[in-house]
Amino acid sequence: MLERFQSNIYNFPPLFTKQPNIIIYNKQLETWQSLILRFCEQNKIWVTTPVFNTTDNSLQKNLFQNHKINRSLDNDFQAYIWDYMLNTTQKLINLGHDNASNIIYNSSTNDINSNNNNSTKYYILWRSIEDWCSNILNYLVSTGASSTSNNIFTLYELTQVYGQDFYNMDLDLLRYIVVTELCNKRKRAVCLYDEEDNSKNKKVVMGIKLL
Amino acid sequence: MGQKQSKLTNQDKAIFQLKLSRDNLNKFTRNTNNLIENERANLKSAIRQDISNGKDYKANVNIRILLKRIHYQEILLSKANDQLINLENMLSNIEFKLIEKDFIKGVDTGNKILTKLNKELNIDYVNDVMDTLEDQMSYEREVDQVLNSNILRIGNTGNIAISLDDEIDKELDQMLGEQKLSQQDVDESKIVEDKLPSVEHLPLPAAKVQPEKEKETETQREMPLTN
Repeated sequence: MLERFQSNIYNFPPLFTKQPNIIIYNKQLETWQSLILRFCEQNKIWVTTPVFNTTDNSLQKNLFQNHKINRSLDNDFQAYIWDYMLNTTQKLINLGHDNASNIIYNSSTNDINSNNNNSTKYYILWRSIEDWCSNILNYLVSTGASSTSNNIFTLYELTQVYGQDFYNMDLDLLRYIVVTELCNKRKRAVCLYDEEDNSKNKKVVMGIKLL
Repeated sequence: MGQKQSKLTNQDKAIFQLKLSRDNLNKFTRNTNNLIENERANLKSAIRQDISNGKDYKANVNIRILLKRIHYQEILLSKANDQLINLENMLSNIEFKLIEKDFIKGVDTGNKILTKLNKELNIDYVNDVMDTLEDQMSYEREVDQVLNSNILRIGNTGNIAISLDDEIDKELDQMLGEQKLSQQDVDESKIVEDKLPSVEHLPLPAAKVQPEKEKETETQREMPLTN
Protein backbone atom coordinates (compact mmCIF):
# COMPACT_ATOMS: atom_id res chain seq x y z
CA MET A 1 0.00 0.00 0.00
CA LEU A 2 2.80 2.32 0.85
CA GLU A 3 4.55 1.83 -2.45
CA ARG A 4 1.85 3.75 -4.16
CA PHE A 5 2.70 6.79 -2.12
CA GLN A 6 5.86 7.53 -3.88
CA SER A 7 5.27 11.23 -3.75
CA ASN A 8 8.34 13.00 -2.51
CA ILE A 9 6.42 15.04 -0.04
CA TYR A 10 5.40 11.97 1.92
CA ASN A 11 9.03 11.17 2.65
CA PHE A 12 9.75 14.70 3.73
CA PRO A 13 10.22 14.59 7.51
CA PRO A 14 8.94 18.11 8.35
CA LEU A 15 5.56 17.08 7.01
CA PHE A 16 5.04 15.03 10.12
CA THR A 17 5.42 17.88 12.56
CA LYS A 18 3.20 20.86 12.86
CA GLN A 19 4.79 23.86 11.24
CA PRO A 20 4.70 27.19 13.11
CA ASN A 21 4.37 29.37 10.01
CA ILE A 22 0.69 29.77 9.22
CA ILE A 23 1.11 29.70 5.44
CA ILE A 24 3.24 26.59 5.51
CA TYR A 25 0.90 25.06 8.02
CA ASN A 26 -2.08 25.54 5.73
CA LYS A 27 -0.13 24.04 2.88
CA GLN A 28 0.72 21.16 5.16
CA LEU A 29 -2.91 20.57 5.98
CA GLU A 30 -3.77 20.58 2.30
CA THR A 31 -1.04 18.07 1.56
CA TRP A 32 -2.21 15.77 4.30
CA GLN A 33 -5.73 16.01 3.09
CA SER A 34 -4.79 15.03 -0.43
CA LEU A 35 -2.68 12.17 0.91
CA ILE A 36 -5.56 10.91 3.01
CA LEU A 37 -8.03 11.18 0.18
CA ARG A 38 -5.75 9.35 -2.21
CA PHE A 39 -5.01 6.67 0.31
CA CYS A 40 -8.67 6.13 1.02
CA GLU A 41 -9.55 6.05 -2.64
CA GLN A 42 -6.94 3.43 -3.39
CA ASN A 43 -7.87 1.28 -0.44
CA LYS A 44 -11.58 1.94 -0.63
CA ILE A 45 -11.86 3.30 2.84
CA TRP A 46 -15.21 4.94 3.30
CA VAL A 47 -15.45 5.52 6.96
CA THR A 48 -13.17 6.36 9.79
CA THR A 49 -14.19 5.58 13.31
CA PRO A 50 -13.41 7.67 16.36
CA VAL A 51 -11.64 10.49 14.71
CA PHE A 52 -9.79 12.05 17.59
CA ASN A 53 -8.67 8.78 18.99
CA THR A 54 -5.84 6.48 18.08
CA THR A 55 -7.39 3.39 16.64
CA ASP A 56 -5.81 0.45 15.06
CA ASN A 57 -7.02 1.07 11.57
CA SER A 58 -5.32 0.96 8.27
CA LEU A 59 -4.96 4.71 8.03
CA GLN A 60 -3.14 4.76 11.33
CA LYS A 61 -0.80 1.98 10.45
CA ASN A 62 -0.10 2.69 6.86
CA LEU A 63 -0.44 6.38 6.36
CA PHE A 64 0.23 8.24 9.57
CA GLN A 65 3.33 6.23 10.25
CA ASN A 66 6.09 6.46 7.75
CA HIS A 67 8.55 3.76 8.66
CA LYS A 68 10.88 4.65 5.87
CA ILE A 69 11.86 7.96 7.43
CA ASN A 70 10.83 6.87 10.91
CA ARG A 71 8.24 9.57 11.44
CA SER A 72 4.67 9.50 12.57
CA LEU A 73 1.90 11.97 13.10
CA ASP A 74 1.03 12.67 16.68
CA ASN A 75 -2.58 12.57 17.77
CA ASP A 76 -2.95 16.30 18.20
CA PHE A 77 -1.85 17.01 14.70
CA GLN A 78 -4.12 14.26 13.39
CA ALA A 79 -6.96 15.92 15.19
CA TYR A 80 -6.13 19.22 13.50
CA ILE A 81 -6.09 17.59 10.11
CA TRP A 82 -9.42 15.90 10.67
CA ASP A 83 -10.83 19.11 11.97
CA TYR A 84 -9.59 20.92 8.87
CA MET A 85 -11.19 18.32 6.60
CA LEU A 86 -14.42 18.34 8.54
CA ASN A 87 -14.95 22.05 8.95
CA THR A 88 -12.96 23.82 6.26
CA THR A 89 -12.95 21.68 3.17
CA GLN A 90 -15.85 19.37 3.98
CA LYS A 91 -14.09 16.30 2.72
CA LEU A 92 -15.24 14.60 5.86
CA ILE A 93 -18.85 14.41 6.87
CA ASN A 94 -20.71 13.23 9.86
CA LEU A 95 -24.02 11.69 9.01
CA GLY A 96 -26.18 12.56 11.89
CA HIS A 97 -29.86 12.37 12.28
CA ASP A 98 -31.90 14.63 10.08
CA ASN A 99 -34.65 15.73 12.40
CA ALA A 100 -36.61 17.59 9.79
CA SER A 101 -37.45 14.65 7.59
CA ASN A 102 -37.15 12.05 10.31
CA ILE A 103 -34.82 10.05 8.14
CA ILE A 104 -31.98 8.19 9.68
CA TYR A 105 -28.94 8.02 7.50
CA ASN A 106 -26.91 6.14 9.98
CA SER A 107 -28.69 2.87 10.41
CA SER A 108 -26.23 1.44 12.90
CA THR A 109 -26.83 4.04 15.57
CA ASN A 110 -30.34 3.19 16.55
CA ASP A 111 -30.51 5.33 19.60
CA ILE A 112 -29.75 8.96 18.98
CA ASN A 113 -29.06 9.71 22.62
CA SER A 114 -26.15 7.36 22.80
CA ASN A 115 -24.45 9.29 20.04
CA ASN A 116 -21.47 10.43 21.97
CA ASN A 117 -18.44 11.65 20.14
CA ASN A 118 -16.43 8.50 20.34
CA SER A 119 -18.89 6.29 18.48
CA THR A 120 -19.64 8.78 15.73
CA LYS A 121 -18.59 7.71 12.30
CA TYR A 122 -17.02 10.13 9.91
CA TYR A 123 -17.16 9.52 6.19
CA ILE A 124 -14.34 10.39 3.90
CA LEU A 125 -15.46 11.95 0.67
CA TRP A 126 -12.70 11.30 -1.78
CA ARG A 127 -15.27 12.34 -4.24
CA SER A 128 -17.83 15.01 -3.64
CA ILE A 129 -21.42 14.07 -2.98
CA GLU A 130 -22.40 15.59 -6.33
CA ASP A 131 -19.82 13.48 -8.14
CA TRP A 132 -21.01 10.32 -6.46
CA CYS A 133 -24.57 11.14 -7.27
CA SER A 134 -23.76 11.69 -10.95
CA ASN A 135 -21.80 8.49 -10.97
CA ILE A 136 -24.68 6.48 -9.59
CA LEU A 137 -27.21 8.16 -11.81
CA ASN A 138 -25.07 7.47 -14.86
CA TYR A 139 -24.88 3.85 -13.94
CA LEU A 140 -28.62 3.58 -13.41
CA VAL A 141 -29.43 5.21 -16.70
CA SER A 142 -26.83 3.27 -18.63
CA THR A 143 -28.23 -0.04 -17.41
CA GLY A 144 -31.52 0.79 -19.06
CA ALA A 145 -33.52 2.05 -16.17
CA SER A 146 -36.45 3.91 -17.60
CA SER A 147 -39.39 5.66 -16.08
CA THR A 148 -41.76 2.86 -16.94
CA SER A 149 -40.07 -0.33 -15.91
CA ASN A 150 -37.04 -1.56 -14.09
CA ASN A 151 -36.82 1.59 -12.06
CA ILE A 152 -36.71 0.32 -8.52
CA PHE A 153 -33.40 -0.27 -6.89
CA THR A 154 -32.38 -1.25 -3.43
CA LEU A 155 -29.37 0.47 -1.96
CA TYR A 156 -27.74 -2.83 -1.18
CA GLU A 157 -28.08 -3.83 -4.79
CA LEU A 158 -26.15 -0.73 -5.82
CA THR A 159 -23.25 -1.52 -3.54
CA GLN A 160 -22.97 -4.93 -5.16
CA VAL A 161 -22.34 -3.71 -8.67
CA TYR A 162 -18.93 -5.08 -9.38
CA GLY A 163 -16.59 -2.87 -11.33
CA GLN A 164 -18.29 0.38 -10.46
CA ASP A 165 -16.57 2.95 -8.34
CA PHE A 166 -19.27 2.69 -5.73
CA TYR A 167 -18.81 -1.05 -5.38
CA ASN A 168 -18.87 -1.94 -1.69
CA MET A 169 -19.62 1.61 -0.75
CA ASP A 170 -20.65 2.08 2.82
CA LEU A 171 -24.40 1.71 2.92
CA ASP A 172 -24.94 4.68 5.19
CA LEU A 173 -22.90 6.94 2.98
CA LEU A 174 -24.77 5.73 -0.07
CA ARG A 175 -28.03 6.35 1.71
CA TYR A 176 -26.96 9.87 2.56
CA ILE A 177 -25.90 10.59 -1.02
CA VAL A 178 -29.05 9.16 -2.49
CA VAL A 179 -31.42 10.88 -0.10
CA THR A 180 -29.86 14.34 -0.01
CA GLU A 181 -28.61 14.66 -3.56
CA LEU A 182 -30.57 12.32 -5.79
CA CYS A 183 -33.97 12.55 -4.15
CA ASN A 184 -34.08 15.92 -2.43
CA LYS A 185 -31.88 18.13 -4.55
CA ARG A 186 -32.06 16.72 -8.05
CA LYS A 187 -35.49 15.13 -7.63
CA ARG A 188 -34.60 12.28 -9.89
CA ALA A 189 -35.72 9.57 -7.51
CA VAL A 190 -38.13 8.83 -4.74
CA CYS A 191 -37.11 7.19 -1.49
CA LEU A 192 -38.46 3.79 -0.62
CA TYR A 193 -38.69 2.67 2.97
CA ASP A 194 -38.71 -0.72 4.45
CA GLU A 195 -42.39 -1.21 5.17
CA GLU A 196 -41.99 -4.11 7.50
CA ASP A 197 -39.54 -2.37 9.74
CA ASN A 198 -41.84 0.39 10.87
CA SER A 199 -40.92 0.33 14.51
CA LYS A 200 -40.37 3.40 16.63
CA ASN A 201 -41.58 5.73 13.90
CA LYS A 202 -38.16 5.79 12.31
CA LYS A 203 -37.80 5.46 8.62
CA VAL A 204 -34.78 3.91 7.07
CA VAL A 205 -34.39 4.45 3.38
CA MET A 206 -33.67 1.14 1.75
CA GLY A 207 -34.20 1.84 -1.88
CA ILE A 208 -35.09 4.31 -4.56
CA LYS A 209 -37.46 4.58 -7.44
CA LEU A 210 -36.07 6.41 -10.38
CA LEU A 211 -38.35 9.01 -11.91
CA MET B 1 -43.47 14.08 1.59
CA GLY B 2 -47.07 13.09 1.10
CA GLN B 3 -46.81 14.09 -2.52
CA LYS B 4 -43.80 11.90 -3.00
CA GLN B 5 -45.53 8.97 -1.41
CA SER B 6 -48.47 9.29 -3.74
CA LYS B 7 -46.21 8.70 -6.70
CA LEU B 8 -45.46 5.25 -5.39
CA THR B 9 -47.97 2.65 -6.38
CA ASN B 10 -48.61 -0.54 -4.50
CA GLN B 11 -46.97 -2.34 -7.35
CA ASP B 12 -43.77 -0.39 -6.80
CA LYS B 13 -43.84 -1.28 -3.14
CA ALA B 14 -44.34 -4.94 -3.91
CA ILE B 15 -41.44 -5.00 -6.32
CA PHE B 16 -39.36 -3.19 -3.79
CA GLN B 17 -40.16 -5.73 -1.12
CA LEU B 18 -39.20 -8.49 -3.50
CA LYS B 19 -35.91 -6.81 -4.19
CA LEU B 20 -35.29 -6.35 -0.50
CA SER B 21 -35.86 -10.03 0.15
CA ARG B 22 -33.55 -10.83 -2.70
CA ASP B 23 -30.92 -8.63 -1.06
CA ASN B 24 -31.44 -10.43 2.21
CA LEU B 25 -30.94 -13.76 0.52
CA ASN B 26 -27.83 -12.39 -1.13
CA LYS B 27 -26.49 -11.28 2.22
CA PHE B 28 -27.34 -14.64 3.69
CA THR B 29 -25.48 -16.57 1.02
CA ARG B 30 -22.51 -14.32 1.42
CA ASN B 31 -22.42 -14.80 5.16
CA THR B 32 -22.88 -18.53 4.88
CA ASN B 33 -20.08 -18.71 2.39
CA ASN B 34 -17.80 -16.92 4.79
CA LEU B 35 -18.94 -19.15 7.62
CA ILE B 36 -18.24 -22.30 5.65
CA GLU B 37 -14.81 -21.04 4.71
CA ASN B 38 -14.02 -20.26 8.32
CA GLU B 39 -15.21 -23.61 9.54
CA ARG B 40 -13.25 -25.39 6.86
CA ALA B 41 -10.14 -23.60 8.05
CA ASN B 42 -10.98 -24.55 11.64
CA LEU B 43 -11.51 -28.13 10.62
CA LYS B 44 -8.21 -28.31 8.83
CA SER B 45 -6.31 -26.85 11.74
CA ALA B 46 -8.05 -29.22 14.15
CA ILE B 47 -7.20 -32.22 12.01
CA ARG B 48 -3.60 -31.06 11.71
CA GLN B 49 -3.39 -30.65 15.48
CA ASP B 50 -4.76 -34.12 16.07
CA ILE B 51 -2.34 -35.65 13.61
CA SER B 52 0.62 -33.86 15.14
CA ASN B 53 -0.51 -35.04 18.57
CA GLY B 54 -0.75 -38.58 17.25
CA LYS B 55 -4.47 -38.86 17.92
CA ASP B 56 -7.00 -40.49 15.65
CA TYR B 57 -8.77 -37.42 14.27
CA LYS B 58 -11.63 -39.51 12.96
CA ALA B 59 -12.57 -40.39 16.51
CA ASN B 60 -12.63 -36.74 17.56
CA VAL B 61 -16.25 -35.78 18.21
CA ASN B 62 -15.61 -32.08 17.70
CA ILE B 63 -14.23 -32.65 14.26
CA ARG B 64 -17.16 -34.81 13.31
CA ILE B 65 -19.63 -32.19 14.48
CA LEU B 66 -17.75 -29.50 12.65
CA LEU B 67 -17.85 -31.42 9.39
CA LYS B 68 -21.54 -32.15 9.81
CA ARG B 69 -22.19 -28.51 10.41
CA ILE B 70 -20.32 -27.58 7.28
CA HIS B 71 -22.43 -30.02 5.31
CA TYR B 72 -25.57 -28.61 6.82
CA GLN B 73 -24.51 -25.07 5.93
CA GLU B 74 -23.79 -26.14 2.41
CA ILE B 75 -27.26 -27.59 2.05
CA LEU B 76 -28.70 -24.33 3.34
CA LEU B 77 -26.54 -22.43 0.91
CA SER B 78 -27.72 -24.40 -2.08
CA LYS B 79 -31.33 -23.93 -0.98
CA ALA B 80 -30.78 -20.23 -0.62
CA ASN B 81 -29.22 -20.12 -4.04
CA ASP B 82 -32.22 -21.89 -5.54
CA GLN B 83 -34.55 -19.44 -3.91
CA LEU B 84 -32.40 -16.60 -5.10
CA ILE B 85 -32.70 -17.81 -8.66
CA ASN B 86 -36.44 -18.13 -8.21
CA LEU B 87 -36.67 -14.59 -6.97
CA GLU B 88 -34.53 -13.26 -9.77
CA ASN B 89 -36.71 -15.08 -12.25
CA MET B 90 -39.79 -13.62 -10.71
CA LEU B 91 -38.35 -10.12 -10.81
CA SER B 92 -37.37 -10.37 -14.42
CA ASN B 93 -40.78 -11.79 -15.22
CA ILE B 94 -42.43 -8.87 -13.50
CA GLU B 95 -40.28 -6.40 -15.33
CA PHE B 96 -41.06 -8.05 -18.62
CA LYS B 97 -44.77 -8.08 -17.84
CA LEU B 98 -44.57 -4.36 -17.17
CA ILE B 99 -43.06 -3.84 -20.58
CA GLU B 100 -45.78 -6.00 -22.10
CA LYS B 101 -48.36 -3.94 -20.31
CA ASP B 102 -46.89 -0.82 -21.83
CA PHE B 103 -46.93 -2.45 -25.23
CA ILE B 104 -50.59 -3.38 -24.93
CA LYS B 105 -51.37 0.10 -23.77
CA GLY B 106 -49.71 1.52 -26.83
CA VAL B 107 -51.53 -0.85 -29.13
CA ASP B 108 -54.81 0.02 -27.44
CA THR B 109 -54.40 3.76 -27.90
CA GLY B 110 -53.39 3.22 -31.50
CA ASN B 111 -56.49 1.14 -32.04
CA LYS B 112 -58.70 3.80 -30.53
CA ILE B 113 -57.30 6.47 -32.79
CA LEU B 114 -57.75 4.23 -35.80
CA THR B 115 -61.40 3.53 -35.03
CA LYS B 116 -62.02 7.21 -34.47
CA LEU B 117 -60.51 8.04 -37.82
CA ASN B 118 -62.54 5.30 -39.46
CA LYS B 119 -65.71 6.71 -37.98
CA GLU B 120 -64.95 10.06 -39.51
CA LEU B 121 -64.39 8.44 -42.87
CA ASN B 122 -67.73 6.62 -43.31
CA ILE B 123 -68.54 5.02 -46.68
CA ASP B 124 -71.42 7.35 -47.70
CA TYR B 125 -69.29 10.39 -47.12
CA VAL B 126 -66.41 8.93 -49.11
CA ASN B 127 -68.77 7.94 -51.94
CA ASP B 128 -70.25 11.41 -51.96
CA VAL B 129 -66.82 13.00 -52.13
CA MET B 130 -65.73 10.68 -54.92
CA ASP B 131 -68.93 11.33 -56.92
CA THR B 132 -68.59 15.06 -56.73
CA LEU B 133 -64.95 14.70 -57.66
CA GLU B 134 -65.93 12.74 -60.77
CA ASP B 135 -68.55 15.29 -61.69
CA GLN B 136 -66.08 18.08 -61.38
CA MET B 137 -63.55 16.21 -63.46
CA SER B 138 -66.00 15.51 -66.26
CA TYR B 139 -67.07 19.12 -66.24
CA GLU B 140 -63.47 20.16 -66.52
CA ARG B 141 -63.00 17.75 -69.40
CA GLU B 142 -65.97 19.35 -71.20
CA VAL B 143 -64.51 22.78 -70.71
CA ASP B 144 -61.25 21.53 -72.12
CA GLN B 145 -62.97 20.13 -75.20
CA VAL B 146 -64.85 23.32 -75.84
CA LEU B 147 -61.69 25.34 -75.63
CA ASN B 148 -59.84 23.00 -78.02
CA SER B 149 -62.60 23.03 -80.66
CA ASN B 150 -62.74 26.83 -80.55
CA ILE B 151 -59.07 27.05 -81.35
CA LEU B 152 -59.58 24.74 -84.37
CA ARG B 153 -62.44 26.83 -85.65
CA ILE B 154 -60.37 29.98 -85.42
CA GLY B 155 -57.68 28.26 -87.46
CA ASN B 156 -60.14 27.21 -90.25
CA THR B 157 -61.79 30.57 -90.71
CA GLY B 158 -58.51 32.47 -90.77
CA ASN B 159 -57.37 31.51 -94.34
CA ILE B 160 -55.59 34.81 -94.65
CA ALA B 161 -52.88 33.64 -92.36
CA ILE B 162 -52.17 30.55 -94.44
CA SER B 163 -52.17 32.42 -97.79
CA LEU B 164 -49.86 34.96 -96.22
CA ASP B 165 -47.55 32.20 -95.27
CA ASP B 166 -47.51 30.89 -98.86
CA GLU B 167 -46.76 34.29 -100.27
CA ILE B 168 -43.95 34.80 -97.80
CA ASP B 169 -42.53 31.45 -98.80
CA LYS B 170 -42.64 32.33 -102.45
CA GLU B 171 -40.97 35.64 -101.89
CA LEU B 172 -38.28 34.03 -99.78
CA ASP B 173 -37.61 31.49 -102.60
CA GLN B 174 -37.33 34.24 -105.10
CA MET B 175 -34.86 36.11 -102.92
CA LEU B 176 -32.83 32.97 -102.56
CA GLY B 177 -32.71 32.53 -106.38
CA GLU B 178 -31.49 36.09 -106.86
CA GLN B 179 -28.88 35.58 -104.22
CA LYS B 180 -27.63 32.51 -106.05
CA LEU B 181 -27.44 34.38 -109.34
CA SER B 182 -25.32 37.22 -107.99
CA GLN B 183 -23.11 34.65 -106.33
CA GLN B 184 -22.47 33.04 -109.75
CA ASP B 185 -21.34 36.39 -111.17
CA VAL B 186 -18.78 36.81 -108.42
CA ASP B 187 -17.47 33.31 -109.03
CA GLU B 188 -17.01 33.90 -112.74
CA SER B 189 -14.99 37.06 -112.24
CA LYS B 190 -12.79 35.18 -109.84
CA ILE B 191 -12.14 32.52 -112.45
CA VAL B 192 -11.12 35.21 -114.97
CA GLU B 193 -8.57 36.56 -112.54
CA ASP B 194 -7.14 33.12 -112.01
CA LYS B 195 -6.64 32.64 -115.75
CA LEU B 196 -4.35 35.62 -116.05
CA PRO B 197 -0.63 34.73 -116.37
CA SER B 198 1.60 35.51 -113.53
CA VAL B 199 3.90 38.48 -113.82
CA GLU B 200 6.34 37.60 -111.15
CA HIS B 201 9.25 36.65 -113.41
CA LEU B 202 8.78 39.49 -115.83
CA PRO B 203 11.12 42.49 -115.65
CA LEU B 204 9.69 45.49 -113.94
CA PRO B 205 8.02 47.78 -116.44
CA ALA B 206 9.25 51.26 -117.14
CA ALA B 207 7.55 54.41 -115.89
CA LYS B 208 5.53 54.59 -119.10
CA VAL B 209 3.69 51.42 -118.35
CA GLN B 210 1.29 53.08 -115.90
CA PRO B 211 -0.73 55.13 -118.45
CA GLU B 212 -0.82 52.19 -120.84
CA LYS B 213 -2.42 50.07 -118.16
CA GLU B 214 -5.00 52.72 -117.62
CA LYS B 215 -5.82 52.67 -121.28
CA GLU B 216 -6.11 48.96 -121.24
CA THR B 217 -8.58 49.00 -118.38
CA GLU B 218 -10.54 51.67 -120.17
CA THR B 219 -10.82 49.52 -123.25
CA GLN B 220 -11.81 46.55 -121.19
CA ARG B 221 -14.51 48.55 -119.58
CA GLU B 222 -15.81 49.70 -122.95
CA MET B 223 -16.03 46.19 -124.24
CA PRO B 224 -19.17 45.11 -122.48
CA LEU B 225 -20.85 48.29 -123.54
CA THR B 226 -20.21 47.48 -127.22
CA ASN B 227 -21.56 44.03 -126.68
